[in-house]
Amino acid sequence: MSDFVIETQGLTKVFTDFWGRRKHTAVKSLDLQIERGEVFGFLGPNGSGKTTTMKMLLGLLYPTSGTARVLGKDPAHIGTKERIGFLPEESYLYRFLTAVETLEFYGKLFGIPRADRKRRAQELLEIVGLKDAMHRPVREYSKGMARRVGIAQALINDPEVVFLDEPTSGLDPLVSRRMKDLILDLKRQGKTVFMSSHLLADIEDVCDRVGIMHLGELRANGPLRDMIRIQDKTCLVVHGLAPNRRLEIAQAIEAADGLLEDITDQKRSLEDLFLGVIGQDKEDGRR
Amino acid sequence: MKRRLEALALGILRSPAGPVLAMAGLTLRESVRRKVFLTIAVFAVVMVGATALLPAIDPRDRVALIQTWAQRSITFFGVLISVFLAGVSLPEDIEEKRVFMLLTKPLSRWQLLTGRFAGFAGLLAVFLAATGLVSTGFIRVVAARSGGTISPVSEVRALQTRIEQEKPGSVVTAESSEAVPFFGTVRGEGETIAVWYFRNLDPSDFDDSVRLRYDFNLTGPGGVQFADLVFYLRPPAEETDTDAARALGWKVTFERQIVPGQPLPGRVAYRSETAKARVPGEIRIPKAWIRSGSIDVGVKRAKPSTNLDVESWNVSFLTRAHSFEMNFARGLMCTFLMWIVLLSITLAGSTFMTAPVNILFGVSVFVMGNMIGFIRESLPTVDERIVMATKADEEAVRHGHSHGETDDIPVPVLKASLAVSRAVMGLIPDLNAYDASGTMLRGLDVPGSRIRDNGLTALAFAGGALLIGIAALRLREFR
Repeated sequence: MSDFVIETQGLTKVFTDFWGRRKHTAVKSLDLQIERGEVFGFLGPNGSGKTTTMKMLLGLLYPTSGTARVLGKDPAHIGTKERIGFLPEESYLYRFLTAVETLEFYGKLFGIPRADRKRRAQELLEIVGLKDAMHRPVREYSKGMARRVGIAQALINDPEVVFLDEPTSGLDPLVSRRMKDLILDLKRQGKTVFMSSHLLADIEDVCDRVGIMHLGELRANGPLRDMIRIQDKTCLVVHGLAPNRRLEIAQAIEAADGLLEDITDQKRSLEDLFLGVIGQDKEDGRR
Repeated sequence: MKRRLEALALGILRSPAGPVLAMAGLTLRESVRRKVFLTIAVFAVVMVGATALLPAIDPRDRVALIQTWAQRSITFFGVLISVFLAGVSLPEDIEEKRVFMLLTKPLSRWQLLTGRFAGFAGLLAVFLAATGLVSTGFIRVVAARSGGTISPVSEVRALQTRIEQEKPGSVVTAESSEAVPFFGTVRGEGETIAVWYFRNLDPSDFDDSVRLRYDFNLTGPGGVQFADLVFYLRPPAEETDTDAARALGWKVTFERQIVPGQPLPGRVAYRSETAKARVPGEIRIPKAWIRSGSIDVGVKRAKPSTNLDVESWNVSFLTRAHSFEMNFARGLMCTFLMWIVLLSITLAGSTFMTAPVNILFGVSVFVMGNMIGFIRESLPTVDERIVMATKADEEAVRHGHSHGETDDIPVPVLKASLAVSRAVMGLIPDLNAYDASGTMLRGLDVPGSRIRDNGLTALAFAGGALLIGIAALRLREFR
């Protein structure tokens, strides 16, 4: 039996027209293995086959050829679905339900007992920051709030594998950061996360391993650190160096047969700056 | 006790029925939140209030009319729920991609469809119970205020009434009409008998000794108040318990022919009664005699001096005393079964059609389902036409003429269209069969057998439709 949590072999999806004629090959012979506890980033431009692959792994689409196994079983198997969570690209919710009713409904589908269901719903709404608004109908929610309900429903069954399709899409940087923290928290709990995203920075922040899809094929696949490391380049981060001492450093590098390309001040990311400003405002008591 | 209940609830929640019930609950909640009940309640009040506009007629007829009006209004709103609400539920889930969230949970596709079905069936049941109770109360109030009475007993009338010669070759002095309702008069000398043909009787609707009611208009020279009449019935051949018949005043004899053209030997039961003009009388027959659901009641004058007017209402069977509410509930139960058929077909369609197309489909099924009875009646005519056309073709070949000389539709085309019609009609339910409003309007009992028959056909149609829907949903992919 395979040790991989997610495994595909020769997975292919060909979309056909009404008459069964081949129209478009969305995924071509995909071989993929994801181990338990990994956060896997699935990258690719629009139309590269990311979402089609994810839907085959969720049993929403049937492969034209090849196989897909999730937790050792067919993705459409009920036993598989009991152990996974899924956050689609947009939170497709019943707008007449409140957040807590939404979670209770999905909890019922998992056969979670009433008391556990209520407790879990409260916990998740606390985590996603919706406890104050949990009795409001979802139709009154902003996109970000609806997204957070989507995240909570994906975790209602305490899943072993979580599929996240564009998890930070449409979220403000604050919620986006919270989402990334949540993904890292899932990793700490030993969960496997399979996420697709356009936002490379997000992938870089949370993923252990990435796969890059293009035109339906997996063009690159491996540990993120290894893939983005440039083998013969070294980066020194120095704290407290006076500007007039930089020349000495440069000369030392040249003396060691290194080629210095640039010496510059380290910059923080725009996200860090934004979160810093918002965080300061919160400390000052402004909303 | 509480622990047992909790264990039972958990057992159900974790069984395959759990997700079905969760979907059914969601469907009910959705209907309540979307104010479906409120809207329908407003319309229902308007519909019931509109009965004030009904013409002022005899109080008893007015009650029957209001009952029919209420039953048809309830039917109409139930059809709206079955087609318009149920027809869009699944397509909306698919088009708005909520199905992604549902089918990635431990919810099978069959559970999704049957859950929706159970939810809407529950909604229809709640709606039926609420509107049925309101209507019943309203009818009771109208009956009390207008002085109309609601009889606890229903009359079951004959399918057909005729005046027959008793012996071939005898002189018929009766005057009769083929019109519906039938009217005729037996007068003068002659071997003539009036026969009421009862069909589709449901023995479960009657007491052990079945009440046969008669009420005749007698005419004759000098005004006739009384007449001696002889009632003839033909008990089933296998029914040999003559003691029961004798106990009810019947004499049983053999090989008496009561219907001309049907010289079947067998036992015939008869008894004499003195009937008073326009005063109802009552005799009883053993229940075993109507076990097959059919019986013919013949009535002859003992003396030719009296003229006997013959109409369909002169002889009827009286059902076991039942409450008006029970009969109304039975009629509504038939309606509910019709909704279930329509609901299952609409839901099955919604697995592969978009919402607007599916609504059109549901409406079409409803319209065709109500017309199918008429179409079925026309098929024998086509059969006859095929036979005639085939003969004409054979004649033409024998005389050396070609087909092209006639304007008739070619026989193969007729046969093909007939085959297609029969196949299509096999797939479309006869929804008229579920409409008991006509029966109730005539003040008749809605027999238990009708609910049983409707229940069986509804079960077959709903089961078949849901299986087709599940198969379609299993094949479907969600992009």
